[in-house]
Amino acid sequence: MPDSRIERCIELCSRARGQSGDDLTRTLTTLQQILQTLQTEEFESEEPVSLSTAEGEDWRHEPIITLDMNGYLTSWNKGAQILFGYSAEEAVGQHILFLYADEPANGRSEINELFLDQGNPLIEVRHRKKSGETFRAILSLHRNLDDNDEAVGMTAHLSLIADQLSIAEKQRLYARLIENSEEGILITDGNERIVSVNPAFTRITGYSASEAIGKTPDLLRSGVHSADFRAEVLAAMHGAGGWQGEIIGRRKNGELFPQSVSIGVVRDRDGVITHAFSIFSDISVLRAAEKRMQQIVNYDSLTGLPNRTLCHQLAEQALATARRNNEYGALLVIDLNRFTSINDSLGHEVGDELLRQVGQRFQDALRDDDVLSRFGADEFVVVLVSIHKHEQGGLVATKLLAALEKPFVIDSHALHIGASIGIALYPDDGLNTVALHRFAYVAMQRLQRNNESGFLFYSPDMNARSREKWQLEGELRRALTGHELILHYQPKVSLRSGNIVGAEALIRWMHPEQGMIPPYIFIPLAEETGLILDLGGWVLEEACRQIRSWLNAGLEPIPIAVNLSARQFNPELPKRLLVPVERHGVPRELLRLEITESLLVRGPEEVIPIMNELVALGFNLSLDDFGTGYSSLAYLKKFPITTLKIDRAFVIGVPDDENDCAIAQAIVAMGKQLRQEIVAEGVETQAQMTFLRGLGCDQLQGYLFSPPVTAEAFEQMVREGRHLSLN
Amino acid sequence: MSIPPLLSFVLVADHQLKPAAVKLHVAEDNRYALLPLIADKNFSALVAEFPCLIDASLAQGLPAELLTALQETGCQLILDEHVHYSDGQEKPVLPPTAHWLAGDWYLALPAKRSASQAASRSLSLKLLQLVATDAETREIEAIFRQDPVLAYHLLRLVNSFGVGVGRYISSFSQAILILGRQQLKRWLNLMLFAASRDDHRSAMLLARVAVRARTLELLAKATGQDRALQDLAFMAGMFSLLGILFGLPLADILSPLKLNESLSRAVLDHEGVLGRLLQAVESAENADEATLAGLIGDFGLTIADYIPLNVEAYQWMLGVIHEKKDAVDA
Repeated sequence: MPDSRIERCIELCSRARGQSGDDLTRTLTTLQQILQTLQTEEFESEEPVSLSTAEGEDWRHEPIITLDMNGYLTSWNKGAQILFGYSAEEAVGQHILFLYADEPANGRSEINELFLDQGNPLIEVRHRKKSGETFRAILSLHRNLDDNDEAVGMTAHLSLIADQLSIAEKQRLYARLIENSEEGILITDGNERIVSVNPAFTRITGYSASEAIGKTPDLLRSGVHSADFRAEVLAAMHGAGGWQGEIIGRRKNGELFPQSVSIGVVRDRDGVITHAFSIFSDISVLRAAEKRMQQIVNYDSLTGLPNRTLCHQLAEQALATARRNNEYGALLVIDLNRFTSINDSLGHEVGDELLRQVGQRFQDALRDDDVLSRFGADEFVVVLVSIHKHEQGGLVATKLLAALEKPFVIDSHALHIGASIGIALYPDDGLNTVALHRFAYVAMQRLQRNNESGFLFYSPDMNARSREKWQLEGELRRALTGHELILHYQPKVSLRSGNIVGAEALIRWMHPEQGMIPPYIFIPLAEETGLILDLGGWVLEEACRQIRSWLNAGLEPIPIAVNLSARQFNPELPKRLLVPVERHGVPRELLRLEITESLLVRGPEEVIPIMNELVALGFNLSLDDFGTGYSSLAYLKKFPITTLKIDRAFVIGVPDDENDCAIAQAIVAMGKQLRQEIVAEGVETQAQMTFLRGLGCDQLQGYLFSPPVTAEAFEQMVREGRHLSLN
Repeated sequence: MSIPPLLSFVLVADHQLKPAAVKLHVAEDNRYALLPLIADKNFSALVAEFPCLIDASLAQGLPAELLTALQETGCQLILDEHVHYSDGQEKPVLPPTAHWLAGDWYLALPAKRSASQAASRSLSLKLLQLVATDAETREIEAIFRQDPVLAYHLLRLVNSFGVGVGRYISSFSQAILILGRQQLKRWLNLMLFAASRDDHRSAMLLARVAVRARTLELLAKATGQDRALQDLAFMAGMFSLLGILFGLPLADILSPLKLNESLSRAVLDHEGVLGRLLQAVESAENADEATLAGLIGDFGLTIADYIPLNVEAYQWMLGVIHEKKDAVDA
């Protein structure tokens, strides 16, 4: 085996004789590399990767590959064939990258490929044979020149190597990467003194290298973070593990700025930390928009829930809608039993944490449309909007009580807590939020006097009727197997042309006795019971069937969006999704996927890979209900979504409500910055449309153009070319 | 309000054959109707950033009020002999009297076909940095939008790995996600090594590609097409000039890419919505006002809607040029 390399060395020597300047340097570097590998082997007295000598004379062939200037293989010699196991027919025409093996995720080898730069033709790579076996090799590249000295292709010689330590070229490229990075980089030594910064650091912070070097990173300290937080950051610099997060820094001119920071450490051979580095980018632009939204909306600082002011505002809007659509509403006052005694005996910190956890459990138990807020102390208020039947109030109260059943674990305490819930109904008990709150409160007090957990309607005859609805669940199971479910389609219209550009598929339940049951009655039930997976599968299947049937009928292809519930969004989703899509031969761009913001609380590391996979498969993702609270801009940037849907909650108030206008404006501005398409949901009036169009929204969906309609009616609209008049 | 005539821009080069200015071209009729468009802030922003030239022949035919307005915005009056025209294959040389170089010389097929056009080296480096620092997909996508050669090779590479049955590439971000970061990094390493010299047409041609792609994207948006189609429109604009860039038949160049069908039909046959939009942009480039008006009229737009899009696209192109330059300076 070493013989082929010796032959190569001889060849390089004769080449060097005719060269000078850079070319000579290059040849000598190659020569040196190969000699080093020979030397290493001699020390270890064994070959790192050996070729079978049983293959006769073939081992004499040095693997040589030629490529065109774009990296596609143009020839492949016997040596390459033996080494990789692919025949010339299999290999020629492929891109050279197909020979590269995936690097082990945590291997040091990752960095070895980083340094190829013009004038440095050696690449150390990990290759993969046809058999799947991998090996390391030095790839030495040369340009092949034609008569006019123009490069017409490349030749690659491969030399096998044992794993090597870093080489000087790597350092050069790293230095260059650091210099050119858009992100600020600062490096500290073991004494936390800054030893190096890059130009981006100076651009962002205002401190030049000479001003920064020798100081500690406290130079940028803003003073707004808690001691705990600083300890966490410091721990990362002391090697506690990689750290990523947002830190508020201070520029030289005194200005505070938010930065997205990663911290890591460098250790020497003995594992002692020699340096720490921080890589950061200035995210003040994005944060400014986010902050604006946060300031506008008033949240309870303890639980992050809307406070009394915002609750009143949202509730009034909800009631206005209910009034218009002749729908019902309900207001629930929830008071935690024995909370005061917990607070007194275990301390405020435990009490506060309990409230936080209770808020979170309530949130999880409710639909996105419901308004959950904290009015102070241990009183929570829930406003249910657009409910179909009065009994829904009781159903929700039961869910909230169930959410409290599991003990709360705080510090070393396992706390059980119950609640008294009073319910007042719109319009029966009152027509405005203040009246509803008063009556719900009265009902709650009645219950609390007996110190029992449970719920009570303000009007006595409701209490009996609420129980009947428990049979709903069994009926929903039946509906899935029967033919009681259908999809309705709500058109989306372009705000530039007025034309129909898509539709959202919405599930409907045609109950044999009760008629149409709207989704907000049965979807929460389905979520609770796990039926949502079957329901979601049914929706995908039906939507794909319908798209195919429209295509067959020669209807103009129109993308149809389906909603994915959080429960459906797991690693199996891409695979499951392909089943109906392929069965019906649906072009992937015609199926759009809508996900809700609530999904994002599960954390980016869990959902991003699934999203990426969906996009790589050719699906488009849009984010539903945008602005309802969960979305953090820092995350939003990372999601491969193309469309944001502004929630109807913000659409309802425009153009008269100043806050809603400001929120809508902030959302559109942010969306545009991220190159998102923006769709406004629940648009009902001409005035709303004009305002949103003026902001730069791309599409609308809502009663102004059309309610959700049957497949036949939607098809009819498309055939007639129904159009929204924009003026 | 009356419909203005087509106000179009002719990209002109300097001595170094780099994009240096635009020369105004205004169709004959109804020139007064241009006044509100000139007052638009995007127009003045463009003029402020990039010289806008009015040659003497055009100046003579313009109503005095319009000419004054243009000059107040910052447009420069120049003599006809300051502009040299060339349409030939050979590398143009400016006579000493000329300051600017116009003509379609950079669209002529090169005398010697360059088997591989160089991707922008500075952008490749920038991409490498982004990939090395694990940047977000949308930042990486933004770089591919600036360089047709990089974009083309990305799609070709993704297809050579086999993208699977029933899957068509319909956006750059999709291609980036399929390829994966590790492969992207290796590929960029190779591109950097292979990078050959630009041919003399590159700078002007790439500027032209940038304007066309962005105009097509904005036009798709203005006609109410959704985001997915806007992305395709951008790619259609970008890929429609690949034949000239590589000096090979377009169909041959596109065949290794498994392109979305509406995209390839648009680029190769000018068919479908995208094809009509592409035709509209091409007719505007040729100052063919009647064809343009007819094509965009079908979508309910007029010349008055078109001109601002074109202005915005030129501004975007300037951003692309500056970004490339910045990357070189850094």
